[in-house]
Amino acid sequence: MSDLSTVGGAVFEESFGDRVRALLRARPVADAADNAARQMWGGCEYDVVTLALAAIDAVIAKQGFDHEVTYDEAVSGLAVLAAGAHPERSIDEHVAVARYVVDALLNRKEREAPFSYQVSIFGRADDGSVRHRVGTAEFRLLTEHEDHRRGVNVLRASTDAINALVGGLEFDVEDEQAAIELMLARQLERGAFGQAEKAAERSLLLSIRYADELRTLLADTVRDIRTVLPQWVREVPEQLERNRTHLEERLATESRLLGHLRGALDAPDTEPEVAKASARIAALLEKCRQRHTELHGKLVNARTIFLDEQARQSFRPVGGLRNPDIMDGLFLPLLALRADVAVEPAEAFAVLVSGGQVPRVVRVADLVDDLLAPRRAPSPEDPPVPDEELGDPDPPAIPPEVLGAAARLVNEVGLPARLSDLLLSARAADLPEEVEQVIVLAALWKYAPETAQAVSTAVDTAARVLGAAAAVDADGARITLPGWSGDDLIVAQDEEALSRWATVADRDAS
Amino acid sequence: MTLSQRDLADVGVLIGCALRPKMRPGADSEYRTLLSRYRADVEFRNAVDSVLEGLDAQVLSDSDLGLVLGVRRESVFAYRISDLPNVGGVTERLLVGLVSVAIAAYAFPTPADFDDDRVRWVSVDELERFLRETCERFKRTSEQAQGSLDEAWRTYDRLSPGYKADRGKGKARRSPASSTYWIAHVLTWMVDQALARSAPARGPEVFQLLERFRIQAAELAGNAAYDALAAIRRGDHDRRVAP
Repeated sequence: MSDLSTVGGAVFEESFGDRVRALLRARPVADAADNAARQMWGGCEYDVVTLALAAIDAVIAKQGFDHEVTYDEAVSGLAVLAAGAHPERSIDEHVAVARYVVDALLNRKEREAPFSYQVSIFGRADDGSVRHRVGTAEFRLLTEHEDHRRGVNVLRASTDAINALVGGLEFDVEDEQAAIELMLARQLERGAFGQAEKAAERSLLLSIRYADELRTLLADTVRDIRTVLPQWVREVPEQLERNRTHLEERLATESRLLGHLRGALDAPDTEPEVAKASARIAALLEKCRQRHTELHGKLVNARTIFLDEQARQSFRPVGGLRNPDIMDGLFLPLLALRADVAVEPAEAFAVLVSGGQVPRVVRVADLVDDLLAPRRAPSPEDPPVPDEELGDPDPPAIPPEVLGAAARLVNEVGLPARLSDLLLSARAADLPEEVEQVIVLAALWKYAPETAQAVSTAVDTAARVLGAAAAVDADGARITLPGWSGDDLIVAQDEEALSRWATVADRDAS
Repeated sequence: MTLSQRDLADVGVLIGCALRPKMRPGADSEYRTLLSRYRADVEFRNAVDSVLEGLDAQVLSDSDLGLVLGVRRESVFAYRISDLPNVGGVTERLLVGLVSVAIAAYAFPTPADFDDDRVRWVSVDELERFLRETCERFKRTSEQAQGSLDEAWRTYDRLSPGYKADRGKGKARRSPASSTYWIAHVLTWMVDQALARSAPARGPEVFQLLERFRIQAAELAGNAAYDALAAIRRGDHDRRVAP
């Protein structure tokens, strides 16, 4: 017993389990680094741990905004880093490394199952002897979700990942935030800018985690209010109220700090390094403030959402509220039924899950044509072969010369460029009017694709004129060219170039 | 305030959009406008819901994904399984149904799984293995219990798992006598219905189940099929078997 109190006594402390769990969050990353040696590129030493943290960071940076990071974006970002580490290796290898890292964070090897580790839980029995039991710690780091608006898959970091990155410790969000503010103010006084920047970064991560907590609660509320009802009755109203005042305070504090930093910037005798650091921190704080403002909006609406959902869901049929138990409630019983009896419910599921179809009305003219048409070879029932082409493309409505001229022009001007610059050079080169139109249409298509008609043709045309990966965005500037009106779009060869343009433009603006 | 004729036309436009599952509000500004009106304007919402009620359909979800409609079987919009190629007889209908349920059971094994909106992937091979293993389990228990010989799982178990050349012309094709044919068939159909999409980057015949599948299965199909099953258990079944 006396030995235990000196050597192993710490295991009985309350915070001990938390520390063990915090340490575990790093294990998937460590395991991935271990297994890297067994990959094809294992001989070349890439720093998997750094890449993994960079991936989580990249995901968190955009989490909760309109354009969250997709799998491919994360991979291409990491591939750039990998290329920086070993420029002598092939691009394919860099991409393979990047893929490996992101896949490891998603746990794709185990079909995206949560990481699961066994932990020992020690306790003391009444008689003072040591008790041991085995618990399981389960968590995810990255998860993939469908972005409803864009129809692509985006990555999100779990709370566990955010916390592991922040410092591996479970803090109360608000207290931690207050602590950071305090620290930042002090560090600024002492001129410890390097640390102050780190603190500001952590403050941003905490804001994101905070927003995530709220998002989960509201999503659960919208989904089925009954699962969170006890929470709403007891903790949530108080929590929301506290959060709201807290956020208001934070917004005030952060703008005060921002002012403070700007003061440091404006002071005539500021050292250049200090000025640079405080400019960076100011940008960071600005980002924090945006996050807070957004969060504040969500908070203000939270109660309304609750009331609306309560009203809406109270009229929903009870059966629709609970999630079905497909495996034990449906699948296995169905298989055990007699075949002729099982048809009915099995078919019901297929029909209802399919979501319906629009019945086609036969037109007499079509019917006659169909009846007179030569017989087709019967093969519609096969699953499509991936390499199959769907017939010849439609003849282009735009003459190939015009397309070629437009593509050459874009090439000469060079991307990224303003739409107005492209149009000006088209005019200067005395090209037919269609060239201008094609360029504008291609840019518009890339900016906001319409699904009304002939999609593949439009995609091909835009790709031919602007390049396959071209990305287009607007920044509010208006076009001033006679004959055209609207936003002066920015056309770049790919998303990355576009974001570089945006960064440069931001810097110029500030 | 009552709805004008213009508003009623908008109701029609919105329902028209909802009936095209591949349309996204993100890509269509009119759809987007009408969808946010549906979410904000109670009167408009009631009008849409009532019209849908008359068409034997209901709104299951009104997120950024668009209006997801649940269509009851008696509706004109209901899918008829027999419209699928090669699906005529009872056995084929049973197979399509069983494979659909199996996909849901494989991707969402517990009720809580429906609350998690992370992306689910399935492949033809994985599903075949999953169904085959389940059949094996049934086989082991039935050997002891000596059940009847026409349970639903035997219908699947009788199918061969591999490719089977279909009259031997052209490429290796699957014949409807193989189980993978039916799994691929159902998944391709789900792609057409915007419930899944093929993910060739992840391997041959891998599919991503889309959010729409999760909503349809969780909000409507699962419980409705369960109710049908419960009705059979309660006695409909006995009456049908021994009239």
